[in-house]
Formats: sequence, structure tokens, C-alpha cells
Amino acid sequence: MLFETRSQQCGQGLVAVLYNLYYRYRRWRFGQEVINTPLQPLYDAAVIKPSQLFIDTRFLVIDCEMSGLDPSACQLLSVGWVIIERGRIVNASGKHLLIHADRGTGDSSMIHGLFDSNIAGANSVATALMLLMKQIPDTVLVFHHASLDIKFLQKATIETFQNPLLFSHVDTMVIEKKRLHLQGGVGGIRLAQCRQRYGLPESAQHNALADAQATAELLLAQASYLGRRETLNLSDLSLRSF
Amino acid sequence: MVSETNDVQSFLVLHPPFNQLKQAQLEYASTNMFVAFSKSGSEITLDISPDNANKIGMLIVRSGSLEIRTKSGELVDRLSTGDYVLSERINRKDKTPLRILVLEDCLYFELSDYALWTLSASSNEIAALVEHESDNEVISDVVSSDGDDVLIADPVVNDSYLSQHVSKVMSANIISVSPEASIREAAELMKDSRISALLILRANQLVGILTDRDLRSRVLAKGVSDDVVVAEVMTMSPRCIDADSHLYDAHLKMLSEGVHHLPVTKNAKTVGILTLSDILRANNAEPLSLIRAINRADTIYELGSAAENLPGLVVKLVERDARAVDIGKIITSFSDGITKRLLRLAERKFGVPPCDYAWLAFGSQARQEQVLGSDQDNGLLLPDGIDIDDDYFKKFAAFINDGLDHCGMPYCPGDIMAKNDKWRQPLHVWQKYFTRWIEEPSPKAVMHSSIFFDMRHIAGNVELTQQLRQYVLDKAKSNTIFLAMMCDNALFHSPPLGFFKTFVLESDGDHNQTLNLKKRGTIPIVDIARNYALSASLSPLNTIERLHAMQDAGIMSKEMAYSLIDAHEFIAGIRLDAQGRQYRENVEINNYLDPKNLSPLVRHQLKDAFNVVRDAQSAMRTRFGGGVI
Repeated sequence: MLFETRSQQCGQGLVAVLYNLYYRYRRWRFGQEVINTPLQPLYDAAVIKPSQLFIDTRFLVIDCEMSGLDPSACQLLSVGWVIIERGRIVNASGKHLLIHADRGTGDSSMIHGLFDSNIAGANSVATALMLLMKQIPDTVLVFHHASLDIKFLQKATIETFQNPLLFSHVDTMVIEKKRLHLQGGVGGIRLAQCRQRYGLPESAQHNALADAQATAELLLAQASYLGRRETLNLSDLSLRSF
Repeated sequence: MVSETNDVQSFLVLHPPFNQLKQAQLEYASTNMFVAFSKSGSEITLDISPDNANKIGMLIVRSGSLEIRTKSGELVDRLSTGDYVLSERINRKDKTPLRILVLEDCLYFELSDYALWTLSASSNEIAALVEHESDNEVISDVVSSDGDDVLIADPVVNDSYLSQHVSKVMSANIISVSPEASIREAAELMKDSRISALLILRANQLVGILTDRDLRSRVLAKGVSDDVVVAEVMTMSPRCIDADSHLYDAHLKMLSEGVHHLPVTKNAKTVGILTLSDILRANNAEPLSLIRAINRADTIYELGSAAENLPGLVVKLVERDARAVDIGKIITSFSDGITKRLLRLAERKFGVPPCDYAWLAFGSQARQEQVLGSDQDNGLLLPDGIDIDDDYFKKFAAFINDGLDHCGMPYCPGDIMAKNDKWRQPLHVWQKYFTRWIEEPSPKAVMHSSIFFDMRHIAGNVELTQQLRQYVLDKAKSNTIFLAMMCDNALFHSPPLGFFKTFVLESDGDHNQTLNLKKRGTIPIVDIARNYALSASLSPLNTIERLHAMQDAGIMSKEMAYSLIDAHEFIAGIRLDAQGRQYRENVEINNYLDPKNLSPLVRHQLKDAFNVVRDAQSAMRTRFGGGVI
């Protein structure tokens, strides 16, 4: 049991190192190409250190709604985010950007309530990404189930700006999995299930902003259980530099 | 655009004082809110340094609960969803600041001081709040969720007993074993010394603690053999508490660590152990004074006004997380005390009784499981073979029954009271009743049985009671048809779980969409315990004690018995909690609960508890039901 935990920790340390190498590689690989594009500030910003304290970190908690699960066939419909500063969600920072879709919303409109009529007159994907990019430097992005959202964001960014986004992030789903594993417990890791475990209220709505807020609250709850406020740092939150 | 109100705003619009605001003010409030989270057991400090632009003006609870206490530990207020507190209240002028402690994981909003003042300029409600606060120097005044000011200076919530030192309350008798002792040795020592936790010492140094719960979850549940050494299953380096700490800190530590036992240290030496029940007992001064008042009462009216203090006491016990079984015993001890006092007053009023008698309690009073507002079930047992002056006992019994009703134990709706001629009879008639119930079990008889078979002597000649009880136990044990019938009756109340593990709610009467915790939760467990106890002639009456006895006698598996004990405790705890809330809100006290009022975690645990009951019911069906009927 002890050995297992230790190897798990080693494994995670290794994953973090690999992510970091990959991050540095991308910065080097695309760094020259982004000069004088809106992406440049992301590549110029200092790499966020895992030793940085949670309390000193600015987080951008983000959630995307897509027209489906396959990035090659589907697209972003909306992006919502909210900012955490000094361990508190800044309610005024909440943003909800609807993205104009050219392929129609398809089946998933049943889930999101985003019908074509709502999306007409929304932002272009370029505007939405520009607004997002302004927020990224010196900030850690937060997702619940990061890989899917990141795939869509990167694909949209490459299509629009030829190069990918560069950022560091944490994933509340990864944090929860790790916590469950250490406690030897089992349980669901969907957003609502994770929230339930911390006694967080059921959220009434299901849209990108509401889910971003729900994820932000989950991160605060997880952080309060992971360590003391004064010493908790980003490696405790399994920081990934991407 | 998609219609969107953010969660903060849609929450605020439902809660005072924000529900009074205009849309623009509401949006302003919402954009100036910050959301934060603190886990249970931690303490919140509000940043109010004057040079901070985001100085906090107000805190609003979104979920979970908080406690506000003075530095010395006195409770000032409790906040839950929708309640708020202004930071001026916490950081009082010229006084030591109050402490905000997190009882349950708490999500809360902070409104900046600047925004609060801006709002107060345009909203009368907020202005009134802010002014009120700065005028008010009385700490006992509390803003409750409905916006009214409630005085909490009520002596009921003054719990200065928590400021006592741990050393005064702990048990200094250290019972310990070495980590190399076997689990069996440890368990035997715990059983013989009647303790629920054992300290594990090596060379006088504390290395661990072994509790009832460890034995349950790390030994029994895992199937660990009892000759394994204690070191394998104990809790290593347990949390300790300093002998000079306040009880309040100890209580908070127990709460936040989720433990019921704390080893006590002084100068790095272990000097004792403190349990949750020690803390409860430390508060016994109040129950004692109530008992004194009861025993001094000279009229029914004096007795009645003494009894009026009982609900407040119970609420306080509930708030202090006393175990439901202890609370049941405390309430019952008052009922017993009131009954005995009434008997004295009756003897004084009507003269010395013409012959011996025994006053019997049935049902929940007999099982020592009363809750607030439990009705009275009692009877009078008279000796055989003498001429009985029934005129005397009729007046006598009516006096007691009326007195109990006056003291908060309403008349039994089924008329099971000594003033009813039927339940005021000599021994041989009582024996005939029981014989008939056992030998000719009709549905009505079985219903009676479930009340009368829980029988306890309250006052008078105890030999009379013993004769009747022995007679009944012997009769019931051998009658399988009777037991099967009782089993059938017990299965009538099923736990409220639907096919998909959702709650099946009651839809009768005024209590639409609620859960009847007594009928669906407590009664099935009580019935199970009674059936097994009758089948093996076990003498305990209290459900928990019966379950322990059943396990000792080997007629129920340890796992099942302990699971049922936990389930009973849990369900009873929730029931008491809900009743405490009803008492505070000044509404009718009943057994109904809206599951929506429970946190998701508690709801989940409640389902688990009901599952345990269902499993135990099917085990019982196999044992007694057996298709006899």
C-alpha cells in the first residue's frame, strides 16, 4: 500500500516534469512565430512555478460548451469564466461569451439551451479567443476535465491564429481523482458529484458561466482540504504547464 | 442573448435584506461579492484592515453553517444558509473580536465594506441594518435569517460550561495496553473497564488509541483476526488536547477531526482521556437543577412550570451533539421523575394507598427512548388475592394521568393509561391479557403487544412488576406463531426507499412530501430489537441495549447489530435535530422531515441507514416469518 502510494507520487512528479518539458518545447518551437500576434504576451510571460502559493495565484476558471465531443467535427458554442484572486472568487469577473457557429448547434442544444437563434449575433470565435488571451498571462487556468476543453480551445486558436495557446493549468477532476485515490475511496468525478462531496449547493443552471463558477467553488473547497491556506502551493494542486 | 442571472444574484434575490433591493442595486451588490470556502473545524478571519480597499463589510452564508463565539467560547450565534453577519459585529469597537468558526463546510459570500456603505446610501433596508449595528453594543442580539432581531440572551443558550478546563472533566484513570497486546486482550480490557477507547502506550509514551469504532471498521469489517497485535489496527499518533485547554477547544477539535476521544496531555505526558460524553456530562449541572425543581414541586402547576424547561434543555443537548440514545434517556429520566413526584403528590392528596401497587410505563418511556412530546403509556398493577378499593385507585390514576398531560406528556390517543379501568388491574388479570395476546394473536393484539411488551417499573412494589415480566418473557419465548405475527407487524413499516434508492415520501395529511422518521426509521428498528429480545427472553428494554444483548447472545451477527445501532443513532439524531429546529421556529413538533432540508451528505447517509434497516428486516423475516402465516 505504502509502496503503491509512493510510486503514484513518483508517477505524478514525472508527469509534471514531462508537461513542463513539453511546455518549454512549445514555447521554443512557436515562440518566434507568435511575435507581433495577439499570442505574443502568452509566450513572453514568465513560466508559473509549482512552488507559487495558492493564495498568491490568479486563477481563471473556465468552461466551454461545444456542439459535440469530437474536436474535428464539432465546435465551440460558448465560453464562460470567472477569476479567483487571493483565494476568493471575484463575482464581478464572470464572463459568458456566446460564439457564432457556422454549422448549427445540432443535438447538444438540448443540454445547453443554446439554440441557433441565441447564437446569432454572438461573438466570433476570434473575438472570444482574443478576450480570453488577454486574461491568460500570469494566470493559471482551471478546468474540470481539462483535456476536452483544451483540445477545442487549441484547435480554434490554431485555426484562427495559426499557433496554439500557451498556459499553465490545473484540473479539478485530476485533483479529485488523486484525493479519492489517497483516501482509498470510490466515487463519481463528474462536477456535480465532486461538489456534493464538499456539501456545495446544487447549481440551478447548466451553461458555461454557471459551470465555470461551480468549478471555481469546487477548487476553493478542494484547496481548503489540501493544506493550510498559508502554505498551499500549485504543485499541491497538480499544476500542469501546457 | 441567453437569459442569465448568475448564481450569486439569484441566491441574493431570495434572501433578506437583499430581496428588498431594486434590480440595479441587486446587480451592484452581486458584482461586489466575493465567494470563499472554509472547511468544517476551521476559523474564518475577516480582513478589515483599514488600508485594504477590499475591506469586508458583510458575510453571507451560501451553504454550510458557522458559529460565532466570544473569545472565551460563549456561543453568540449560529448561521446557516441565507444568514449573514456584519463585520462590525465581529470586530467590535473597544472589545475583543468575536471568532467565526466553521461547523459544516461553508461556502460564503463577502461583500466589501465600500459596497455595503454605497448600498446603504440608496437602500433603506441596508441603511437600517448598518445603523442598527453601529448603535448596538449588546452582543446577545442576533440577526436571524428572516431579518428580525432575535434576542438570544435566553439562558438556554448560555453555555459557559464549555469554558471549563479539560483537566476538570477528563477521566484521569488511564487504562492502556502495549502495542504488542492482541486485539482480543484489548477488547476484553475495554469490555471489563466499560470504556469505549483504550490508550496504547509504549514505555509510558502514547503511540496510539484504539476505539470502538476502530474495532468495528478496522477489525470486524475487514475480517482481521483477534490475535493480531493492536499496533496493526490502532489509530497511530492520535490528536491530543492539552489539559489546560478549554472544553470548547476540545469540542471543536473533536468536531473537526471527526473523533469522539482525545488523549489529554500535560508537559508532553499523557494524563488522561476526554470523550464526547465527558463533555456532555460536564453540562449536567443544568439537568440536575431541573430534577431538583421537579422534586421540590408541591403542586401540579409548579411541576408543570418546571417541565416547561425541558424542551430548551433538549434543544441545547441536540446542539451540542449529544448522542440520541443519551438524549432519549435524559428525557425519560425526567418523565420518570415527574411521574414519581406526581405519585407522591397523589399519596399526599388522597392519603396512604390501601394496598401495594406498581406503576408501569410502556412503550417509549419503558424503553427510555422518549422524545419531546411523546405521549404517555402507562398502567397500574395491583396485587392478587385482596379486596381492592378501586375508588381510591381510580382517583389516584386519573390524578397522575392529568398531571402528566399538564407536564407535556399528552394523553395516549389509544387510551393506554392507568385511569382507564382496563389498564388498572390485579396481577392475574394482566397475566390473562398477555396470555391472550400471545396465544391468540389478532392484529389488534399484536399492536397492543408492541406497546405492552416494553414494560418498565416506575414506582411502587417492584416485586409485582417482576412477577408479571417473568411470566410474559417465559410465555412469549416459546410461542413461534406469536413471534411470526410480531415479525409480520414489524415488517409493516418499511424503510422509505424506492427502486432507484430514492426516498418514498409520505403523501398523507398536511405533511405532503415528507419523510416520517419515526414510522419509517425508528419504529422498524425498535420492532426488530423487541422481536429478537422476546424470542430469547432478553431482559433489556432499551433498543440499543437490546441490540448489544442480542449480539452477546449470538442471535444476531455483530455486523448487523452494530450497523443497526449506528443506523438507529443516526436516524434518531436527525429526528432530534429536526425537532430542535421545529422548537426554535415555534411550530408544531412532529416526526416529519422534508429531505430537501438535509445536506446531500446527510441524505446519502440516511439512505444507507435505511438500507441497513431493510437488510435487517429481511433477515428477521427469514428467522421468524418462515411462512407460518
